[in-house]
Amino acid sequence: MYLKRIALKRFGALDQQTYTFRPGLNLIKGPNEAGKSTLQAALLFGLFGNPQHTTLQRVKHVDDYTSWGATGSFHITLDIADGAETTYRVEKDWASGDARLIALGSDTVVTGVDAVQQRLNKMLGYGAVKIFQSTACVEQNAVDDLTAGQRTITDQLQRIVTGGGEAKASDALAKLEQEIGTLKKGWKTFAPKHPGPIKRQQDDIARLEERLSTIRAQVRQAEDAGERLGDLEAQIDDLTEKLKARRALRASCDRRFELEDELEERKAQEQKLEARVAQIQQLQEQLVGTEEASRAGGRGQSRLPWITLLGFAAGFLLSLIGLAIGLLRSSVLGLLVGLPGLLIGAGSFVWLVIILVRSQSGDPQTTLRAKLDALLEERPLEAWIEERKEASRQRRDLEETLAEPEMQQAAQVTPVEYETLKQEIARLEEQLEAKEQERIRQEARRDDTTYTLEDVHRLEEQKAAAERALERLKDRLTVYELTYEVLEQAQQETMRSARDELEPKIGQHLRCITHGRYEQVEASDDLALSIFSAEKGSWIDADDGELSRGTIDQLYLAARLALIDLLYQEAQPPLLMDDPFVTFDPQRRQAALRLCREIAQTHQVLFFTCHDGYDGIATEVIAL
Amino acid sequence: MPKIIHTSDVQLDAPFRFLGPRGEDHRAQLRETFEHIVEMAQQDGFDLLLIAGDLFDSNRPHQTTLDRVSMALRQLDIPVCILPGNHDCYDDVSVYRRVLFPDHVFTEQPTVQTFPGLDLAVYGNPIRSARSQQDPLRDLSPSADVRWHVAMAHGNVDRPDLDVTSRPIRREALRDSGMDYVALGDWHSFADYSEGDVTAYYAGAPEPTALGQTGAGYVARVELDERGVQVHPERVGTITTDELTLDVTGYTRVEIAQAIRQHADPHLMLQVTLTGLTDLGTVLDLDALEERLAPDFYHLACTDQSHPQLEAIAAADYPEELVIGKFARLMQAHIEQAESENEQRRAEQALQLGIALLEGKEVL
Repeated sequence: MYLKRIALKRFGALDQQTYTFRPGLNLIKGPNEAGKSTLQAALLFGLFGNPQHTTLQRVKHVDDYTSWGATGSFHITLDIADGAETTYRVEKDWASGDARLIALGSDTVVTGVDAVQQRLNKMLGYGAVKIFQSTACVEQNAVDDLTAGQRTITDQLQRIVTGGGEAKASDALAKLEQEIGTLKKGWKTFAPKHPGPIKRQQDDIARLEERLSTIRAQVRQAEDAGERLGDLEAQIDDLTEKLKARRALRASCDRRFELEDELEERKAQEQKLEARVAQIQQLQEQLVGTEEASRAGGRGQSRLPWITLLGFAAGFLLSLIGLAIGLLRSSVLGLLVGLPGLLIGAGSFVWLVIILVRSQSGDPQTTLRAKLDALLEERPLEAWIEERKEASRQRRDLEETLAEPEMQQAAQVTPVEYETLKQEIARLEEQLEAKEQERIRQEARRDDTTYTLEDVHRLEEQKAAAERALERLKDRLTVYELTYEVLEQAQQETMRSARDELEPKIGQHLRCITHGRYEQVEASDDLALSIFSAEKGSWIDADDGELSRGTIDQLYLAARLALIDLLYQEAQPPLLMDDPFVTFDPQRRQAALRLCREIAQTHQVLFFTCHDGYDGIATEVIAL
Repeated sequence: MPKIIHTSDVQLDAPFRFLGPRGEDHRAQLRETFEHIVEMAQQDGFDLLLIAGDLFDSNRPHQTTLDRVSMALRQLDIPVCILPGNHDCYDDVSVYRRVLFPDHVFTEQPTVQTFPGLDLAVYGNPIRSARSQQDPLRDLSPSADVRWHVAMAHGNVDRPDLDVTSRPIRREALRDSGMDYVALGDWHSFADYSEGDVTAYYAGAPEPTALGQTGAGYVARVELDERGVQVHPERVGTITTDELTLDVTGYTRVEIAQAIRQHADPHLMLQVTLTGLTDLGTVLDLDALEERLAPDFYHLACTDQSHPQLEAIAAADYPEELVIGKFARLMQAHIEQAESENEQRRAEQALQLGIALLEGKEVL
């Protein structure tokens, strides 16, 4: 195929411009800023652009190429001759977003952006502008970079065979390998000092798990202790209640015993008082009777002591007289006088004693009074009566108290039961003491940790987040490994296949270009080229700097052509050369131009330059 | 006429593993929202507060939470009816056995609590086991001699799209319950499930407890009068949750981030699902996306369900003779032969990553 014509409307500085091309080498010549780059862009938009998109490969923006002041976006018309010499007119309009393909000289019209592009792609071989650019477009510095050592032919070929862009499959694989290595560092292997993210995440999770386990156990212990405390408090309350009831019963029993004893005492006291009061009253009555009797015969009794005194005195006197007579006159007479006196005196004395004794004990009134006084104890009878009444009242009070239900209940307790009750109280006290001790222990267990359920939740949430992150890292690793595995396979298969196909094709093109000087080319699996130098009789590595610059140019262009053959097969897209030899010295430039002319035998070449001097070799010269 | 505030599924002290470090904030938010509900019950002239199950997320809530709940309820002048749900069921270790709540916890099966002052009775069966399969409405009938009969039921109303086995509430049972109002609990979105003459509503959770609970954040304001039963949702939640399905066909990574950021809200839990067909070589790093947008949301979770535009592989951009084309075709075969969705997704991600690398994009 070849381009016959391009007509532009509102396309940058080339508004309303039409350019006609021919098969062979078309020289598009003009000074800087004349529009060579604009025309190259127009060709790319025309061949590959989608009028419904605002960019071309997201690099070239439609607005940047629309003429200043234009009312709408640009319009491009391309006339393309295919191998069968049929000319197709392709119209793409970015103002309306439409595209149309007309087979000139026939009724065939294809409309619609996608349908038109499909037809175009078929003619071009591929619809990928990037691949077209990397193969059919030779940019200004591409060749010069090779000879300047900034890039190698191998690099260039690898980039093109990778995907047409700047990336190389080997670089992509290296990056992946590095990332995989970083991710896996220390995972399932010896842990280095600085492990990778997966290992770090795993370690974090393990630490969180360990911490969670500890805290969870502590919180569980505190919770269990709390629950146990709840139970204990209920048990303690129950025991306390039971103990309280038992103690109350025992107290009732004890109280009853005391009251019963007291009642007995009260009763005895009451009886005594009653007896005393009765005695007093009886004595008083007797005394009254005795006093009445003594008032009747009281006189004789009152004189009796005087008689005895007189008798005593007479006896004493007679005794004295008898003594005196006995001493003075006759002892017999004295004895006769004194002895009766002694007898009278002694008799009086005895009588007096009897009277006195009788007056002391034997007098009923006195005795009664004495008894009465002893009973009254210097208190009036009324006081004793009152005391007796008080004792009765107290006795009744006690009886009433003992009749109360509590005392009645206590009365039901037999002595054996009372003993059992005492034992039960002792047992309950023991149990209560044990529960209290247990409560203290459980409180200590409960208060043993400062962690709470909130801490457990917080750690669980952190762990969940860490686990999610770990899963994503592992997923990422799986994806990286799969990418690496498949990419490596793709690279090996593609490079091998490319090598097999490129090797002879490069040789063919090189032989053609160099008029047979070089014809043997070898390519390695990574597309490193070597050519056989008949002069030296050896193989020379294309990248090691031994080849002359001219040979490198030739080899590179031969490789480009071989790639075009490889990728485009039957389709032969036009080659766009953007003054690639601008930095060459005149001799080298002439050689390169001859090379272009050779190439133009099979491919249409659109050669953009700002230099004169190429006109002689061009099939068509287009001045901008 | 009685005015009731009906809530449920507060799930105090729930762990929120999906929220990660933000879970603590959300638990605090739940406690605050519950206190706000109690405050509202006090100040807005309600006569009765119904809690239709799952006040707590478990029977082991934190003591501080118990104290706060207990204190809040003690300050209420109106009666409260608490129905144990499946999360805080009335089993041997129930929180309701350990803590004395100021008002009516429904522990008997069934429990009938009458409020003569309101001329109203509340009926309910507590959930006795977390895995209870019993009908929450069983044995409930309007037996009290009052004008208004209200039931609380914690369970699942039968729905054609749900296979309900636990705590089933049949629609016929609702319809024939004879109740004026059935306060439903267990589901987290406000919803009307009235049947026949019986008005029945799920109040939903006052705050979302999981992503996707778009109907959470309400209590039910229930007014009973001779005209009938009026139920209105009352917004109490501060956090909302939403789902965004974003078709990222033709989007760049920056455009995807911009599209999500349009929904930015610091009180929003947003679940984003990316769908559509992405250009080959578009690597969606969800970790990076979530991290970049996290400050704009309460919580953001992104899921990638987009697929690479496999048709593009056949097109001219990926000639088989180039590594990129070969790789794309090999990966395409992996995707097509994947035995699980997970495997397919990983193969798709590998395809996108490989293409991006081969196109020279900085994606690692």
